This record gives sequence, C-alpha cells and structure tokens, in this order.
Amino acid sequence: MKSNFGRLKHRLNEVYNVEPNDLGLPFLTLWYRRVNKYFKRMPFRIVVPASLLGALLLYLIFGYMVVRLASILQYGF
Amino acid sequence: MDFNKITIYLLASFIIVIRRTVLLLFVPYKTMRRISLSSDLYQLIVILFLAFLYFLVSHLLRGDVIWGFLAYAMFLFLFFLTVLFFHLISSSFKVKADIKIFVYSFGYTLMPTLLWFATNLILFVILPPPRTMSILGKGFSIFFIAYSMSLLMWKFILIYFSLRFSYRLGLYRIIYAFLLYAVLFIPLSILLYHLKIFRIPFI
Repeated sequence: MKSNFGRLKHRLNEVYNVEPNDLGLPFLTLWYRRVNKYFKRMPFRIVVPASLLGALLLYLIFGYMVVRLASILQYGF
Repeated sequence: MDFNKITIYLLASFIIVIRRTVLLLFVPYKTMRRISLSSDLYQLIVILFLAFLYFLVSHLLRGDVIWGFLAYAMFLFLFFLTVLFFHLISSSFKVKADIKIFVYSFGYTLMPTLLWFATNLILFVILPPPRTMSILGKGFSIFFIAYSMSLLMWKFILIYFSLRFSYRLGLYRIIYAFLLYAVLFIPLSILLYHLKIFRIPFI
C-alpha cells in the first residue's frame, strides 16, 4: 500500500513538474494546446507528411536547386 | 568503483539510451519529462561516445583521422557552449535552473543529429553524390530533403521539451532563447565552415 502511494506521489510529481503554458490570450493558449498535442505523442504523424509536402513544394518552386541542395547535404557528413 | 562495475553500468546505460531514443520517437513529451527528472552521467557518456564513433568512422572514410579528433573536440566545445548558453539565458529569466539536468536532457537531443549524420555517411557510401537531374536523382533528392527536414523537426521538438522540462520555460521564452541562439550560432557555423572543421555543424 505504501509503495503504491509512493508510486502515485512520484507520478503526480512527474505530471505536475511544469505548470501549463499560458500565452496571454485565451484563443492563443487554446490553439497552442490543440497543436501541441500532436507533438506530444507520435509527432511523425504530422512531421513526415509535412516534410514530404515541404520537400515537394521546394522542388516545385526551386527545381534544380533542390537537387543541388541534396548533393551539398550529402557532402556534409 | 572497479572496472567491471563501470562496464556493466555503461552497458546498461547503452540499453537505456537506445530504449529512450525509440520512446522519444513515439512519445517525446512523456519521455523527455522522465529524462529531465533523472540525471545519469553514464547515459550522457554513452551518447558522447556514439558521437565519437561517428567522427572516427567518418574521418576514417575521408582518410584524415587526426582531423576527426579535432572535429570531435570542436563538437564537445560546441555542445557545452550551447548548454551554457541556454543555462545563462534561462537563469536570466530567474527560473529555478539546474544545469546538470539540462545537460542530460540536452544530450538526448543529439540523437536526431547522430541519426542524420550516420545515415548520411551510409548513403554517401551506397549512393555517392552528386545527384543528377534524372527521375531517380530528383526522387532521391526530394526524399532526402524530406528525411532531413523531418529529423530537424524532431530535433526542434526535443530541444523544446528539453528546455521546457529542465527550466520550466514557457513558449515565448523558449522562442526568445532560440532566436538569440540562432544569432550566435549562424555566424559561428559559417566560421567553422571556413575553417573546414564542419561542413554542417554537428550539434
């Protein structure tokens, strides 16, 4: 029983380690919470499609420059 | 502490580092929160050792191992400089700041960097640049840029959570600290590029 209480206390300390973000304006805070939840758990659901879309858009806008950028990055190791 | 004990600690830490890196991929918030509550020096040593291995292999491939040691020393300098910078900035906000916790959690933000540089090294061997304008070349370039962007975003997420949990900073303060860091980091990166130490800064 005591160890269960200790575990619960530890868990509560962990969860309430930081106070919630307040961005000053209620609608900003609301949007921050809406967006932030996607980054807290499985962020790659958002990150991978966004990166693919970003890379594709970069290619459509800059064309050959993206191919050159890939080469420059590959030499960057 | 005898040698056997240290070896066992390092092996255990290696397993924890791998496990936590995988968890940072799926549940970054919860994992970073947990990391910032503990302070294990061995895990940081394992991460820095993995970085050392990368520098050793990459410079062996280039044929200048001595330069690799210099680059690694520069990386360590850059890493601790970054930690000190964020610590000083956070201290200026008059928050309860413990640099020890931040060093450990910030160490984990090196994992996306390490992953990117390691895959870049492998791809350099398998598919050496330059890329061409053929369909395969274009396709690979788009895929590679997307891969780089997603790892960069993952890194930003980890740095954000690391600062959030280590120093309990809010969003505005973290953005402010990021911008200040960029002002210092971009000229420093250009300098390191001209000194031929890093083409892309390892941080």
